[in-house]
Amino acid sequence: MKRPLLLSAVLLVSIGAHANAQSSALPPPPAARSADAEPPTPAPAPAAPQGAPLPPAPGPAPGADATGLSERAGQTFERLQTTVERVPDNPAVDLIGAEDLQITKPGSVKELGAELRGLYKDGKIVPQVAIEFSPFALTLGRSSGFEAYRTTSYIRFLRRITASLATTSVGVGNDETIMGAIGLRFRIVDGTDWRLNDAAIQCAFEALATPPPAGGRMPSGTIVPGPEPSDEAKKKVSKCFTDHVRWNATQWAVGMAVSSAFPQGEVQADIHDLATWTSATFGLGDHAQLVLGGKYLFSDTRLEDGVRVPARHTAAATGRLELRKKQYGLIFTAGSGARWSNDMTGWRREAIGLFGAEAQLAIGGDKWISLRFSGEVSGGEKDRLVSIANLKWNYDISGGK
Amino acid sequence: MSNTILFPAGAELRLRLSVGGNFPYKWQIYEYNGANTPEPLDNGSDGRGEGSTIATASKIEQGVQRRFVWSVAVVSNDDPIEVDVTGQVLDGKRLVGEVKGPITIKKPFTNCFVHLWVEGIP
Repeated sequence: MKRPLLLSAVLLVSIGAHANAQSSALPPPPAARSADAEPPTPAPAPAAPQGAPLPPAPGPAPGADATGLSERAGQTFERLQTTVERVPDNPAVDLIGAEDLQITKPGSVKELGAELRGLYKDGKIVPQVAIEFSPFALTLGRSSGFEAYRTTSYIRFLRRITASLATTSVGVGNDETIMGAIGLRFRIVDGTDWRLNDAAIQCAFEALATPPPAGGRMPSGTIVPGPEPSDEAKKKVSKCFTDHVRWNATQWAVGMAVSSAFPQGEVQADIHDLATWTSATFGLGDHAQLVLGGKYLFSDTRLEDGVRVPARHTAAATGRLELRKKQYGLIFTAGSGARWSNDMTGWRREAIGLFGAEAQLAIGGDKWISLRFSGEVSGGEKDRLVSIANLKWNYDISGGK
Repeated sequence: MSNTILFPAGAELRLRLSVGGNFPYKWQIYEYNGANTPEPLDNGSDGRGEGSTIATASKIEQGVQRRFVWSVAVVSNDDPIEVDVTGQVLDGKRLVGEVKGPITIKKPFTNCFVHLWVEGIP
């Protein structure tokens, strides 16, 4: 039997400046990501020590696909390349596709309570809310000391768990449906954990000084904030965290989320989507890293534009190899996935393969230029296109970001 | 209500600081003199998980009140979060009393003061 095939490719050139932010999360998706899928919230690039290899450059600008064919493939497989390679920082937001939401991170149980109360008003779920918090940090962790974190593995495990909630809305008027999701993220191994970074902490201690207290008679039991640190002191201490992070530290994270649809905001128990992610990075010497990721998604049957869509299961895995030197970087990606759906006549399987490569070259200061290529190969019983290729240029100067 | 901690006169006074949230911190403890001026007493840090947070403040005489204050700098690379800060008074390993309160820790570091009074009793 002849195997139907859809092949598309994206070639992209961009010029820009890399972000100089630090993240304790898994690295961002590859710069070589397909331009067809919905762009995720830009993740900060891991900070690089001075003289370290060129850090990852930001991904391509949104909306880079011209043909629409890649877009179809991307949607078909649930944004395979953009969401598989890393566990999202906020799985709930990712599952309902609300990456534009401003995420609130309550710093106390009181603040969390206020946020949760805001989720429900006049008997309905309120849309456009995103919350992320560490249950341990807000409760038992309030009194848990640094020594406990350093010496007790389960404390580290608990402290690194984050929970997320998010809501958004689709449709308008009588057709409005609130989409809500809850999620969990586990950082099981985290070589970027600043609390375990002796060099960073020692550097911070050397950079700061405890302020002298004022004279007078403050009552016993008074615990008050001290003077606000100067900008210079903050800068010195912050630099310790960016200077002492290994760009390709080993990490492993697992995430999961479940979503539900609430017509008109009315509360009801109904699973809409359920997803799990896992991703891991492995440093290969000083100049390379391997990133592996996997995702499973269950989407329950639903009505879309008046048509009933069957329930489906999607599974995908991707790998990325990054080679980075001071003046250049090379990135290679590959991935594959499959979707199974039951359309009343039986189970139907579709498959997709992704591949890509990118070369980045430093051109002075924090400016870089990159050349990217990515392609997709998919097989399905209805697709008749053998191959499609397109050329895409992206020109983006974002110096000083 | 007084938060002054009553402590057996003649026993060695030990003072322990702990900061929640699993944050490393650096501290300096002062004792107020008769002119209400803070004088440095001891210092240390909890930056390598060694729990080096105890200061010794010699003995205390019956009926005498001594006033201490910790100046603390808590290092963080996390989003702002509220934690508990605790100052404790120990007789050997025995906990005699403590003061406790919340403080919000912000990156890259947050300063705070913890005041504690101790009075010698028979």
